[in-house]
Amino acid sequence: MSEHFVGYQTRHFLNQIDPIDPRIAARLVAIRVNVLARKQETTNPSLLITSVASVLDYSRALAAKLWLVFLLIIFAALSASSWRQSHFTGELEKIDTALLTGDLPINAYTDPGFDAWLKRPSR
Amino acid sequence: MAKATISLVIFALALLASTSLYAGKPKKPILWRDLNAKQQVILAPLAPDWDTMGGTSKEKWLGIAKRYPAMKIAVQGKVRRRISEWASLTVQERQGIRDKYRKLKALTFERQQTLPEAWKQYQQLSETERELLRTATKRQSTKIEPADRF
Repeated sequence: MSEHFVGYQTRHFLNQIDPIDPRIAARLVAIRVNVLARKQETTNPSLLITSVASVLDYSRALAAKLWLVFLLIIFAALSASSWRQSHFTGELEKIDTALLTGDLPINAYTDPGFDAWLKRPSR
Repeated sequence: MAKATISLVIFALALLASTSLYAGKPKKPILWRDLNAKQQVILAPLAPDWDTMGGTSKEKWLGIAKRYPAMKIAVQGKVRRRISEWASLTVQERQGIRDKYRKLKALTFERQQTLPEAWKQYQQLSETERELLRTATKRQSTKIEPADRF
């Protein structure tokens, strides 16, 4: 049985009593004031508890943001690495295709004599 | 605010997962037997070394094989001969050739156009003359190298 239900039943019962004895009414008022005072204490925790709770909430939010930044950095690094690899393979294919199809044979690039021939002073 | 942060974190995780699948996942190596008949004909000189070749090299060769059918017949013949030559070179020799190619590519367009003719002229020299040029180059490389014109 919930607290609200008990309270509702009690209020309903008390409303039936007419007139209510002044001494009973005074006790009921005192009880009510006492209960309200205790309720206020629990909803107004001490300053220290409030501060710690705020810090924890802030830390959780900050941690979530830091994780997000960390994951985005990882994503950026993986994307960059993938692009670099793809770009490198593309460049290699381009150069090797040019070497295989070009006008100069492969041994033109390996012959140091041809290198010297190209560097000779032009007549 | 908390919901927005959680949504962003889930989005970032999804991006990370998709990137990992795309880039990080180790690709299954393509073995020689996985190539189709046309690719095996084009890349035949590479057959003995194919299975031990790195993934980047294989990707590159498959790219070249893909371009092959669009080449003129004369060029196709040239490519097949040169692939044989290329297969016999070491990794260092190939890298040296690529470096030399880049240097020649950096020449002016007019100068590049003269290279095939320069090669023909060089071939017309006697073997003795060519050997002298090679020796002169070797002697130069043991000294402090002058500024490279290429």
